[in-house]
Amino acid sequence: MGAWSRFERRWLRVILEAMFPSGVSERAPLGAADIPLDAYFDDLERQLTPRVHLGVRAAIWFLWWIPVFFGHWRPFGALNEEGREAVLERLREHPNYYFRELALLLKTVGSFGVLGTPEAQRMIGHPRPDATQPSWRRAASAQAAAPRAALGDQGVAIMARGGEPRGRVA
Amino acid sequence: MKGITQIQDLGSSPLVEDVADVVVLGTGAGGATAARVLSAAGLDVVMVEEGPWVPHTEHRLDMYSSLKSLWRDAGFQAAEGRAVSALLQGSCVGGSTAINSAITHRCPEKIHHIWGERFGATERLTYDRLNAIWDQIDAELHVAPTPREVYGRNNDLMTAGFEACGFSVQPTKRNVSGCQGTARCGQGCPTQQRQSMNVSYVPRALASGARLYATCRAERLLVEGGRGVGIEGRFWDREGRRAGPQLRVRARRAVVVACSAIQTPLFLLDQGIGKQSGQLGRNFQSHPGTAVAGIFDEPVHMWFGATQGVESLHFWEERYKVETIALAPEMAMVRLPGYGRKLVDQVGIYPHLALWGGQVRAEAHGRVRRGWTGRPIVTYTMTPTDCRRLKTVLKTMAEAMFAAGARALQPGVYGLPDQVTTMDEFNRIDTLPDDPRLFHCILSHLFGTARMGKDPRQSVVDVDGRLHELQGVYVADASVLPTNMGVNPQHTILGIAWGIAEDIANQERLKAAA
Repeated sequence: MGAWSRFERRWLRVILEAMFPSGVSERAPLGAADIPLDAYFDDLERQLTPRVHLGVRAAIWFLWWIPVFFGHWRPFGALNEEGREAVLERLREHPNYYFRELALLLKTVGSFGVLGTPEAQRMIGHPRPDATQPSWRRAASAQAAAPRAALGDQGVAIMARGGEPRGRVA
Repeated sequence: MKGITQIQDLGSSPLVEDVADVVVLGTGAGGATAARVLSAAGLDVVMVEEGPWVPHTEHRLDMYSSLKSLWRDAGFQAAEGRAVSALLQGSCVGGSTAINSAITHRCPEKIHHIWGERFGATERLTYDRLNAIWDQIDAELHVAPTPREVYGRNNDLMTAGFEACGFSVQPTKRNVSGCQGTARCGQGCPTQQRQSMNVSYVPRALASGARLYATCRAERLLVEGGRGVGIEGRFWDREGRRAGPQLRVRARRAVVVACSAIQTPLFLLDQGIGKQSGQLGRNFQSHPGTAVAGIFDEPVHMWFGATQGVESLHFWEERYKVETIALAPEMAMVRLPGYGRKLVDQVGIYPHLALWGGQVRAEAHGRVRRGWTGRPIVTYTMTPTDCRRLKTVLKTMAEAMFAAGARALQPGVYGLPDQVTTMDEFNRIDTLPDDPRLFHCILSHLFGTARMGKDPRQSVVDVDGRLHELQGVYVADASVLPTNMGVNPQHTILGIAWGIAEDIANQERLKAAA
């Protein structure tokens, strides 16, 4: 399954900016627009199972186009701030369970990305945010590091009691 | 740590081979305990774990980093049915014990009696024997009630509210030594005080000579002459989804499968096992849980205190229990109602928020199977009776929260207002349909998918934990528990796995003596 396209990511960002708006509250000035989320999206795409990845993609498309069916005659991104919030509220109260859940899925995705940062946690009121950034903000992972041990010319390692390599097989 | 091999340690070798007396699949409550007992008995043990070894220094406060390194499917695993329920499992060395709140309960005697009466499952694992095992585990894992000094306000308030209502409430017994009250159990204990398997029985087994292959998914059971004689697996780089070397481990004595109530039946079904009884993967049971958030005028500061330091078993006979639960800020924000300006306006609530969770000993039975894409499928739908019990537990929590001084409650139930300020408003829940889609439930206690019993037509493993269908292969995890219990299952899994492993070790001793 393909990664989210550039426009799908843009749609997702627009939706998250509506869910977590910036600068609308003195108490909570930080929002999705203040956090560069591309690295988070990259990381998230690697973590999600194909099924959930598809679910997020479905939610993005659904939220983007549902305003048309709600009588706005325009996609989500073409609505003003009030219009976007009205669509989100309507989804939250919608009798269709899946309408509610698709919006909630994106709220969850957004909350992890936007509100997991130390600056956002401080804003929410946590007194001891981590000094380190979330993993998706940190530089290249240890996975890229060189292997610590190369085992066997023939590529077969025999392990022994105690966990140390016992020898090689020709 | 010495004795642990992961994909990043292996370079370009296509194959890793090993031989041991016993190979144990999984390092959660069941697998780690089995490895601890077997290695202490002098048997050579290899553990195989799908998830990574994550040192506590890498545990982060932000939930997403923890979800992706410690939780299965980065926390997005779900059971499907009439409603979608989050399915919470650890996927790292230590399994779910590395992400749970360390709550320990011995299996209620009444439930143990049902297991004996209905399934004949208690012939070897008698209640007296289990009690003796639990005594030893309690001592080794420092099981004790939550100390007052790490209650925090969330636990204080639940104590006050339940006492005011005349409901019994007590500090949770937990396997923690010197809790610092960081309220970060779900993110991996940052101080290593929780005696989860990755800091207790896995290191203990390694110290006794066991070896652990982590980031390695068991794929095939090796069978010769009608007997399980080992496993084949594959190392995986979960982050990059890159396949690494193959692992082949020969087991001279036994294979112990302890991959959880979801992964164990899937692994065995993949081997073509389970056709005899038709029960493998079926009878999936759980304790659906949901929460009520209370807004207090005083600061609650959920970020300090034992994550789940207090509980009430007052309503156990009515099939539900209540406990506190502290959530990370970004999880709590998902729980707050609304989007946009409405959501952001509530940010200031978090320091004043208390959260309690209720779990139901549900009647529902679900199923675990492999979907056509190869992914696990868990189907589960609460019955109308389960939904009614969930409403009752929510009302109980609401009553106690108001009694504790909550200014308003956020029920989190579709059909109720976002915020209620009186019990009369909350009691409108009784007018709503008994529909699981009204609630947001999590399933964190999973049971029954390879249940234990005497009758091979009714059960998957015998009273020794051995597969009815195949010699030399044992199951020692939550999947053998025949029913749900109404209390947190970790301690019961530990006890059952201990007993099964002890019997394997004794049989091997007898064989050696002969």
